[in-house]
Amino acid sequence: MSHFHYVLIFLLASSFMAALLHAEDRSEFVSHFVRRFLTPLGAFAGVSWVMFLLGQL
Amino acid sequence: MSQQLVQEPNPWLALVGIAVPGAGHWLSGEKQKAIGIFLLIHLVVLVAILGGAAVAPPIPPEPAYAASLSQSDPIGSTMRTMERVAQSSSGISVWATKFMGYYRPFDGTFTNTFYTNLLSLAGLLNLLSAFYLFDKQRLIAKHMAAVVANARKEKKG
Repeated sequence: MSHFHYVLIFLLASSFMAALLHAEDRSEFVSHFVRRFLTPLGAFAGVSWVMFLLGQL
Repeated sequence: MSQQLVQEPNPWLALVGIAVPGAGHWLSGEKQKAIGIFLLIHLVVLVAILGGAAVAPPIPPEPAYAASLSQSDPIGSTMRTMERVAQSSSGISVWATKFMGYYRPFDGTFTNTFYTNLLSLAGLLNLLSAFYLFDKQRLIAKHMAAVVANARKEKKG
């Protein structure tokens, strides 16, 4: 377990809780969860790759 | 009315409201109070900074005191040492630089501090919104209780 894993679990738990409180029904929950959890992760992965490729130049 | 109460605020506006002294009062229309708070906070900060410089002793302390080696005051000595260590990090910019991971080159792995810290900030934002949404549930419950109480009153009267 690295620090990154703890951060990931924290993000997962907090986005789950916030989406649960925010949503009225199941489909809304899914969309809120995706917005709160997968968007930062996607940004992380995307920007990481961009920076990595820039570093390779 | 409750719809207006539970509407989520613009987070950037909320950040400004927290960060700028008096901004909350300005946004809620109390302009005079806002200007007063803004000026007062700036005055206090300026007095703290300039006043501290003005009353700093021009005479250096004795060497044992300066080196935190004073045997007669071990607790004060330890506190001064800790204070010096804290001050040697010279402010928030060093903290920010370390936090954002500028001291380490990007290596394309999960050990990179910059993005990990951004992810943890996203988690903190989620946590804050969870607290806000708890409050939203509380406001909805309060509104429903008021509606029920009104209905009962109308039924009786």
